[in-house]
Amino acid sequence: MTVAGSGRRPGSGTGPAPGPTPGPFRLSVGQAAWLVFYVTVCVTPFSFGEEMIRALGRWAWFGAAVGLLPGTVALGAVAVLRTRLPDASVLDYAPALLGRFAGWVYIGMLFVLFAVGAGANLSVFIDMMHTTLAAGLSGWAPALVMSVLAAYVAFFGPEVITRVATALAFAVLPALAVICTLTWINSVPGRLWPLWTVPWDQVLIHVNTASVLGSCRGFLPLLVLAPMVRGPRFFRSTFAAQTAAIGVIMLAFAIPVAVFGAALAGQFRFPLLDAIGTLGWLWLPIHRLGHLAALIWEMLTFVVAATYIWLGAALGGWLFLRGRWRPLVPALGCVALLVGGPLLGSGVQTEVLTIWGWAVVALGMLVPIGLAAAAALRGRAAAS
Amino acid sequence: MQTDLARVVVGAEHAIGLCEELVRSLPEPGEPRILWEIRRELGGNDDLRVDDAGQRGTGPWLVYLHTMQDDQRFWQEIAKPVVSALGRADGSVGRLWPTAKRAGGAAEAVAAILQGATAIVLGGEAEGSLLYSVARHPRRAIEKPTSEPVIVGPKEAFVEDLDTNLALMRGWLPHATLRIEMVHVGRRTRTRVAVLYLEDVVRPGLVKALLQGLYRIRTDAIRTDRQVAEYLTDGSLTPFPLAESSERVDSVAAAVADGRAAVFVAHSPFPVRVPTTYFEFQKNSEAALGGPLVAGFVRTMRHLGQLLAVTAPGLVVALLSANPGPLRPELAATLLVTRVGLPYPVFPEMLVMMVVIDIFNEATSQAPGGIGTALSIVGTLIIGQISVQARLVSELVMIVAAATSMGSFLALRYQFSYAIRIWKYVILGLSGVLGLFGWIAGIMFLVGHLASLKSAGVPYLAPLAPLNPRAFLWGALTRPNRPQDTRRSPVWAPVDSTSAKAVPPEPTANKTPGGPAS
Repeated sequence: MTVAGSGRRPGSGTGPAPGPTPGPFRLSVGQAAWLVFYVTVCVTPFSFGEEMIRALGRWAWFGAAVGLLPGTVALGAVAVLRTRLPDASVLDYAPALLGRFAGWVYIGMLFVLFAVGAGANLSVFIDMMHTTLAAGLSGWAPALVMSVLAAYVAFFGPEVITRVATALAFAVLPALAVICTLTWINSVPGRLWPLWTVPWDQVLIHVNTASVLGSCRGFLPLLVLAPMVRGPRFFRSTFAAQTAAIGVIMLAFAIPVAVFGAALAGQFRFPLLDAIGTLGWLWLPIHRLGHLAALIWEMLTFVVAATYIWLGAALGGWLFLRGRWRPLVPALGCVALLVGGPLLGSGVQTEVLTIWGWAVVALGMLVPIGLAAAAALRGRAAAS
Repeated sequence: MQTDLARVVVGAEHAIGLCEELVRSLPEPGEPRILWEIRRELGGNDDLRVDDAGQRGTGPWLVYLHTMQDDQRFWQEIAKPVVSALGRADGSVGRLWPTAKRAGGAAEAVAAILQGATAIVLGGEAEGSLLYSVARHPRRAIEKPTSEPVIVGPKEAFVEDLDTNLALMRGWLPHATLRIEMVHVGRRTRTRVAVLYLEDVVRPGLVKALLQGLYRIRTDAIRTDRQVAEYLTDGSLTPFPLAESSERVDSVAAAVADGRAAVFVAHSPFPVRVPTTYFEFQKNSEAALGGPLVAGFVRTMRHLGQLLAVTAPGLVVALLSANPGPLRPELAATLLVTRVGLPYPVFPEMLVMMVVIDIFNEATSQAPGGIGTALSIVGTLIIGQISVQARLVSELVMIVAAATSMGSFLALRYQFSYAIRIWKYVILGLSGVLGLFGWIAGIMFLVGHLASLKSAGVPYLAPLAPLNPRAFLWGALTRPNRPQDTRRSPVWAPVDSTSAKAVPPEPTANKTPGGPAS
């Protein structure tokens, strides 16, 4: 997505906007903000819905691509906002660009969504821990430990969360590389063609899971991380790296599914290589890498939970808490995660919401296409 | 009646005592006021000498603390000239010491006397006082560093004398922009603390923040450099040192040249370098051993050893007690066989062994040399071996305990090894309670804690997090020294980011081959 900012910074006067760069079409700050708000509130929780992908049958891959499109558009819109308003965070965009009342409403909705996302993430995490590392423990013990640790990091703010994510990436990425390599060397990439033979519905389920690299399922990774990234330069590199990482993970899931068929896909759910282990390749205790996958999952959940706690707490703090009450912010995030999450998270994936999801995805496609077309027409008229 | 009389008598005695004290505190006839004020301030000291050189109550008076004087120099440079000048009537005593400083007042004179100077109080028309120092400063010779052994490289270590240390630094960095700012810290010790930096390199605001931190210190006494470091880092509750002490001159000079500041404390041979990062604690002069590859190898071993020291006990406990799944069946069987007949589960066993090992470490480090060696033998040979033979401890736990102990001492700075030893218990505890999940949780807690730390505004995990790939590679390995490498590490955010300026090519037009330009 090539975009160039033409909007003006609020309160910057009537002078020309600094440094507009030419592009196929222009996206103003207001349009970008609207896209971001639209996608975060309407699209993201439902864009990866399993049901709606599965309903397409052999064309599920098309559904997958459609589901990814609004997210890509929103990521580009966030990039525009970060470029044009480098010092502002997502929390600042809303009241500045939508007005005070609408901004508050938006942030309130965002707060609920983050609670849902965090809860869904946590419930998956508890489920996974039960099947792997913490089988003998009550589900709440890992959840509590993880929440407390995440709250501890969230207390120090987004800068520290980013540092933790960077440091842990050095542990996660080599392990991920091992898993992907072992998967690839035992696969035949040529079987990915033709694309419709790949059971994309199964693949997409695991892409949802894999997208935990930056967020929890159904949420745009960078949208969550965007406020943490300070400069537009870093935002772009983060954007590129994260998109590439998701792509790699998607392929890592897709290839063995294409090779082994959908029958084994169910076993890929959490311990990534358990399915490979069932094939009986005894030359390497490959199935034991499932524990490695579990450890990676734990680390990622830690970062994601910290992100959600901070965001939820920052939203709550932005709405309610000032001054000396700021230390309550992490506690508020923790409560939102532990109480709101399981209550609200379980109800997300329903058939009713699938219909809603299709509607907003369609809008998510039409709006940016319409905006692009309008901008192109405006540009052509201005040129003539 | 008798009681009232007794009260009157006691009151009268008290009043008489006060009067006598008042009379004693009054200046003697002909005595300068400054001398009286010095007596009032320092009069209670038995080593205070007030010698009336003229013996006639007209001065000059020599006021000094005799415990701080170099007797020979005192006689040669002060007493003898004074005595020989007494016979002259030209009032030349005041001109005997052209380098002496004239005291601005009694307070300055008192401060100088406490530093070892002699106040020469002049009477008569030339009333005033001169400050001339013949103080005796016991100084240790410059020796090899003891806490940071160097195999190849400069072997100069700092000493307790601040001036000697600053002179050493001046010798290493003879540059016009080297600045030394002196502050007196401690209300009673008045300890001299010097902040040393390169004015055109150091990050803006760092020196100001350091000086403000020093001015904020309101304590009575400053004893060590660590005390100053704690004040400068706001006493953060972390076992990891946020300021780096070093006794090696070349190391501190290199840090200053890189754009950091060094804080020297009088009476301490360990100046403090700020800011610092986790990776700075892993560096030594190993590059001198064999270049960047050797340095990279050594540092990698060091990192692995410390990682082992922190995580190995917890991992063993988690694998043996809760999650044996990742182990190969053969290995799991072998390990479980070693535990047959042991009375305790692996977690309390490991915990007790870690405590015992740390007690031994502490005892060995505190004990004098010979006893320390004996303690090591007792610890390793006798207690370790016997406890294994008696089936109180398994061999695996013993091996892990020994490896952990060795790994923790791979930390180059001693204070850093304490952080490793403390965090080992945190991860061990979480592993014992929650298994492999707890082990990872402990590591994440550690990473989160490290990520939350800052040293003088610089993230403790820099350049890893936030990531600066080039600086990280330079820090993890060591870049080869090449003429074209002119960049300073960006971690310290120096004003001047180039460590070497490009040399302009020499003009060739006027050159004559084979000889100087004509």
